[in-house]
Amino acid sequence: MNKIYRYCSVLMFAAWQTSAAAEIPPGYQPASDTDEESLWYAFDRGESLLKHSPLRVSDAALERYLKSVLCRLTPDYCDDFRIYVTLNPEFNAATSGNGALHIWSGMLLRLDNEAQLAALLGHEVAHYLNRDALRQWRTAKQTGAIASVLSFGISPVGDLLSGGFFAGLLPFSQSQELAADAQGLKMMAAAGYNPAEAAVVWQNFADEQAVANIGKGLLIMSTHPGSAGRSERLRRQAQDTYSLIKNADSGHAAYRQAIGRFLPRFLEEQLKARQPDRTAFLLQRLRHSAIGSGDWHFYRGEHLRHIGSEKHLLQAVNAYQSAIANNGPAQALRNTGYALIRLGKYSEAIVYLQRYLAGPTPPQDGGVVLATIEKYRDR
Amino acid sequence: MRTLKLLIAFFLLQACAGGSYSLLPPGEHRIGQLLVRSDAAWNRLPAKYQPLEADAVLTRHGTNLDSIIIFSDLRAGDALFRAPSSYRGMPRFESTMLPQDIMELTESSFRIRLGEGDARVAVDDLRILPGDRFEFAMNHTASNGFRIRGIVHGGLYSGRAWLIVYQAAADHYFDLSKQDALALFASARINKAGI
Repeated sequence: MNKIYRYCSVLMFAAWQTSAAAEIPPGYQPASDTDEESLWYAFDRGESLLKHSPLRVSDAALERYLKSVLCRLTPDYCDDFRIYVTLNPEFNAATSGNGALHIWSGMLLRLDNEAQLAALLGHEVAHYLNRDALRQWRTAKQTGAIASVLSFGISPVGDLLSGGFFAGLLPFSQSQELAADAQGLKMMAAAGYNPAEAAVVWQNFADEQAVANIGKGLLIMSTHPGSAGRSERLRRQAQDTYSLIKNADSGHAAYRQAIGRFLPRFLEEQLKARQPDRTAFLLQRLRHSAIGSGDWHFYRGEHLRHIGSEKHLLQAVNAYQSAIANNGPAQALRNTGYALIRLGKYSEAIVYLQRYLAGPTPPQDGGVVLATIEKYRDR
Repeated sequence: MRTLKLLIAFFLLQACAGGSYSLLPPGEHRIGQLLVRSDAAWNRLPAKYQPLEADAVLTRHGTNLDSIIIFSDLRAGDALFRAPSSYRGMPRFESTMLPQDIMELTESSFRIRLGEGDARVAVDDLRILPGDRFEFAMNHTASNGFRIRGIVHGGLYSGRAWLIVYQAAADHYFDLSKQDALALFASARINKAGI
């Protein structure tokens, strides 16, 4: 019976979605000699930089997976989108008016499942379908804010900043953001995803902001509604409108399988950003994610070692011990040694550094480790 | 009298702002706590354009193409750069740090300074040198493909550190001033009188 309910509701929402008039048809291209064509030209340039960015995570399987979720949300417009993932620890995604969708690694790091990914992709698709970029471009022209917009097109500095190109060029209004949220919710429900997950994304982010006592400074927060309020709004909408959907898909396993192998790399980006409060919060959330136990303890050790006080160095050593016990990376041995040196426990440290050197494959940084052993051997 | 006071205030503000570019001629120079010898002439940036803890920024062809940044006296709690916003922190030097930690600190500091998502910063090839010195490579690539190569040379003493960062456009400019930078690294020593 549940299945019948689910399929009926999916059909109902699919019909609703189709009936909601999109601004542009599938395969849309702007007419010649229009301001929209000029805008698309600028976006095409930005996309070209993104495509060749050294920060891009060029992985065909990852891009295929993300595209498959997007196409499940909006089959008719599937071919109109290109997805690019770049290494950036912040939580953000952005779409440009030409269908290029830019996802930051920090966003993928923070999601729990495919339904949450669908919520964010649906939101970005809605911006495209609503031609929000064009609306903002025209508003900017009318209000005189165009000078700063144009500078992106001609300035080499603009090119250097292309990593934030889509996010920073034409910020959407709060009403556009809220409309995109609602449409994204509609799309994910129509595609059979659990719409309640949309609120979870923003609640998690609100919690992260609260822990780190941040909000105003984040790029995404400069134009977007507050995370907690957004979460509450999405939760109500999901409850009120989509209560018919039972046993909807969260896609937890599928997300873990597709994103899991990238999580250590994405987490490293977060560690290098040196945001101890946010990193501690994320590590807690990732405790039971697709990151293996050994890796998780190792990255926790890295986080604690970066803080660097005596207390944190001692905790780092314990975390590395757990990493070693759980088949974590060999670097756990090396970094135990480094942390112990900083604690003044030289002879103990040397034992770990020697174990690191004696591993099955000679480490690339063996020379540095040997030099470190030599330096502290007689102390 | 009021005009005179305003003029004095204006010149004081100018002085506080760090003055103008100056020439650093070949020869030995005291920069902060370091004595360094330069074989070539460099332009020295006004203090107002220097990073937070730097004692000097030198360039021959403009800082977009080449630069030497000298941090002569890093103490516990010091950051290399000012944080870009109130919610962002910068990693801080700790007196117990090893060269490995300083390499990571430098990488993170430059990443945050250049803007995560705007440039890819990578450190590599750490070498421990005699006399509590160390050296490593630091390269970064802007999102438009513009590549900067760099070498960081530094030393540890009495729970403090000094760092000299040489970086230049990978094509042409890096090799052009590399030997001068290496000579400057080799010449660097702590000015004992200044400690």
